[in-house]
Amino acid sequence: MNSQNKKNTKNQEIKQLVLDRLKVLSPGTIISIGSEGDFTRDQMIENVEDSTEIGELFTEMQIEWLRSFQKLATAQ
Amino acid sequence: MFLITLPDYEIATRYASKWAELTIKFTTLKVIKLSQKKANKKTVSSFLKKQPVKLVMFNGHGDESTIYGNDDEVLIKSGLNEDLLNSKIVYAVACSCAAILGPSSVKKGCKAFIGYKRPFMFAGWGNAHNPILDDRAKPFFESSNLIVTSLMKGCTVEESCNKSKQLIQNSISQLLSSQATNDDRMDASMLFWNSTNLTYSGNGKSDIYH
Repeated sequence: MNSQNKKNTKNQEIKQLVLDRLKVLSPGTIISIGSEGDFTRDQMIENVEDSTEIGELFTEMQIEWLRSFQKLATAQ
Repeated sequence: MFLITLPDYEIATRYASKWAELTIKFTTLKVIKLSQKKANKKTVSSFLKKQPVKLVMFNGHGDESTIYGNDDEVLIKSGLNEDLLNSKIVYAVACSCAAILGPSSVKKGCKAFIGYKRPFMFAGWGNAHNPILDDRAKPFFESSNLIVTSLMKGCTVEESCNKSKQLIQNSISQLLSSQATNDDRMDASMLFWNSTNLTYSGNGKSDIYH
């Protein structure tokens, strides 16, 4: 597998991880992303699936969160 | 004097403004409260120019160089009128404006500019009638309000930011308890994002009374 394929696979895995976290939220959840707008759970799922700007920002937020655990684990 | 803008024209501004309004009861300063249509450029500029305002809390939308008021009217923009913030301490609950507007305001004489480098996020149930009753949104706005109420009590800019970050950390710990739901875990990640992006430009040792 070349590096581009590896990167694509990793991105797909990250996207799936974020989608899995979104799909288990209560359906009435509203996620407000400042000036970008307010999104229901299902709208955010669509944004992540379609890799829109909002979806990418939300994914970035989730990666930051997961990285913080990695740092914590490394420090311990 | 304490100047606060409270735009209210969709869910996010309604939540931000209704929660931010709670800070008013903690101050002994004279309050200039600019709600809804009063949160416009002309009125805000006039008060900032003519009144001895020490502390400003902007609520509403923003981008890296701009803070908006009601109906997305530009209130303060980098390179346009950030000198209006001269000698004041500012806290902006507005997306991303700590990235460019914060530093440029300080260059024009603002004592300190507190804000977020990236979009401010929150989760809730979309209770447009009474956002204050939305317990899910509470940790997001309580930690935000703590910056202003700490400044009102005489804390420095740096202390006020640290108190807010500590409250967020406490909320995250509670949300990640053994009873945590999937909603709690998601909310914790969004609180972490806000805490990471909360920052200030200017003098961290400054307070509103000196």
